[in-house]
Formats: sequence, C-alpha cells, structure tokens
Amino acid sequence: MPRWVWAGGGLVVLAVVAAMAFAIFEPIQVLPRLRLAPGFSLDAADDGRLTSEDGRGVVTLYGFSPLECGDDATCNAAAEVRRTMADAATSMAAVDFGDTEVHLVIVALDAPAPADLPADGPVTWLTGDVDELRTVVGSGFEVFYETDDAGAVTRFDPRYVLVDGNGVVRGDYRYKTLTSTADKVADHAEILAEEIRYAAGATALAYEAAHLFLCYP
Amino acid sequence: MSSRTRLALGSVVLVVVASWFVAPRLLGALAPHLYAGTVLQGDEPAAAMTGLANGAGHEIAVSGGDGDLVLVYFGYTHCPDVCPTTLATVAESRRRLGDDAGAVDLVMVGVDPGRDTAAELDEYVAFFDPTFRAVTGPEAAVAEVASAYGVFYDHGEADADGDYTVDHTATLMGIDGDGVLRIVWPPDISAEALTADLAELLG
Repeated sequence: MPRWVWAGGGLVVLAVVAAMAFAIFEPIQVLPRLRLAPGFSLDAADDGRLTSEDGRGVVTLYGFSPLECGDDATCNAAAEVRRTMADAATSMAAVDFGDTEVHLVIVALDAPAPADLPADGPVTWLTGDVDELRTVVGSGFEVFYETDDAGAVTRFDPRYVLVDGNGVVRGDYRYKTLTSTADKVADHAEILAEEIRYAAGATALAYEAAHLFLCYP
Repeated sequence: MSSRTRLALGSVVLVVVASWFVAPRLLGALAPHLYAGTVLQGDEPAAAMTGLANGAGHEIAVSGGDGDLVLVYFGYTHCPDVCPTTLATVAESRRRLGDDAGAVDLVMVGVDPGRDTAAELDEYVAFFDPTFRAVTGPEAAVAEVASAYGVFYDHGEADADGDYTVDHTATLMGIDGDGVLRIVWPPDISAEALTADLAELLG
C-alpha cells in the first residue's frame, strides 16, 4: 500500500481519537446554553425598576419565593430558598469571574409592594403586579406556583436559574439531590467563570468545540 | 540544469503555489464554523406569536418547522438608529445569500402598538426588503411575546411634541427549520458575519 495512504489513514484515526478523547475526558467543561431567559422589568425595593437588560454582561442567579407564607410547607420552602440564595451568594463570591459582575435575585411570587421588599444582604428582591409575575415567572422562568383569591401563595416549587451575561439560561435547578443546590450552583459558576475568562480570541474555538461535542442534542 | 531538475523544481513551485491557495480553503472547510451569534442548545419550540397579527389581520406562524429560517426582531417605526440598521443588515445578508435568500424570512414584532399599526409596520419593513413581514397587537399580547423571547421594552417619557422613544432589547433571533429558537445575534452584527452564520444554518 502506498505510504501516503498510511499517512492519510493515520491522520483520520488521530482526528477520531482526539475527538473521542475530547468527549470522554472533557478537558474543557461548558454549561449548555439552554434557552433565553425571559425579558422583564420588575420593581426593586429602592423605588427603582430592574430590567433584564440590566443583566447584560452580568451573571445572575434567580430564585423565586413568596415573601409571606401561610402553611408550614410553604414557609419551610420559602426559608430554604432564602438560605440557598445566601449560601450561593457566599460560594459565588469566591469564584473568579474576572470583570464580570454577579447578581443574586429573588423574585417575590406574592406581588408585595416594593416598599415591603427586604434587604437580604447581597440578594436583591424584585416584585411586580400579578400579571407581570405570571408572565415573567410562570411562563418565562417556568416556575410553578399557585395563589389563593387574596394573592397569597399556597404552593410553589422552588427553582433556581443561572443566567449568563447574554441573557441565556445556563443552569436550571429544580430537583433536590444529594448535592445541595448551593453546591451545584457553585460548581457550575466555576465552569461558567472559566468560560467567560477564556472564551475570547483563539481559545473561543476550543470552547465552541466543547459546546459542539458536549452539549448539542 | 537538466530538464529533469527543471521539471522537479517546477513541480515543487507548482505544489507550493497550489497549497498557498488551497490549504486555507481546505482547513476552513474542515474547521467548525465559529458563529458570531450565540447558539442555543435546547430543543423547545420557539414561542408562538399569539395575539399578534400583520396588516391583513393574519397571525404569522414562526415555528412551523417548514424548513425555512425565521429571523425575529423587536422594533418600531420611530426607532432612530438600531432598528433601521439591523433591518438593513438583514436585507443585505439576504442579498449576499443569493439563491438561498428564499429560505430566510424576517418577522418584526412592533413594540409600540400605541403609534404603529400593523399596516404601518408592514410598509416600514417592506422598505428594507419586500419579503419582510411585521406583526403587532394589544399591549398585553406584545408584552407576553416579548418576554418569551427574552426581550424587554419600555416606553420613555413623551416630550413636548408627544414624541417618545422605546428602549428595547435589540438582539436579532433565529428560529431554525425545526421551529426551535436556535441563535441570538447581538445588535451590532455585521452583514458579513450574519451571512456566514445564515449560510451555515442553511447547511
């Protein structure tokens, strides 16, 4: 067999092995770009409005919880959301995002007045009218919650959504696992931070290849 | 120099010159396309334009999965800069695509239903490209569709003449042939980069 056939065959095998090694050993990890986060303009505690455009260039972790609760189950779930967001704030603060800011936001599901929103340290609370919240939280972020006739939340499924600076959902946490949500968010924040730090210039191609090999359906 | 040596030297020069022109094209064909837009990897269908209609009063299906690429943009006719620039960029990209342009549609969603009727929007987008379409509808319906596409918009304060601007997300979005929202381009995308992405998406 001519030598050039061996050389050509060797190159093809090398390329296939390299692609397989890339997929198996994942030298570069990326979070999939799941979908667009919803656009919104909601009220903050300081009489201002926070919009989805304010999140451009910012990594944001969203949580969702009623401010007031009636029954024990709802109160426990609401307390857990606050605890998880506080833990996530601590762990994300330790991640090197370079120049990229990190925001943590809880959207109040029971539509309280902006003046009633708490100041939860690094977490910003947002509210809106009932219809706005239905559109943004229910349809947009796909958070399940039920309210009674008075607008009080009677049931909700805790959910956390990690959104990158392009407004793309990169992490969606809705089920309890052995690993706490705050720990999962911290792990994913590390991966996202690395992509943000290195996904420019020549390394962008490597990160796009990682998305291609690891994330596409 | 013998004729054999001249032949060998000539062959080497020919190979070097041919490689100079062929290698970049070959490498370009083998390397994955690096999209200028942000590619989304989910497979949920794009949100329907529920409650919105064009000038003829018809709803427009954007996620029918008929094989065409549908570009979606949110804007308004009084938009001073970014809307005309983006629409002109898409029109230029369609021209550059040549025969493939027929597989690329654009739908603009009007975010200023208080001033822009669907008929006015139709006329406005047709100025850039006669194939462009537009829809609008009641404020609540526009807000719901906009939110589903990650778009925020806000009407500014009116001046003494009653004029106002509308702050809005100015990204351009692409729905693939399967009806999935697949890619988002930044407002400052160039016609060259957009054309390259569209050609890649069309396969």
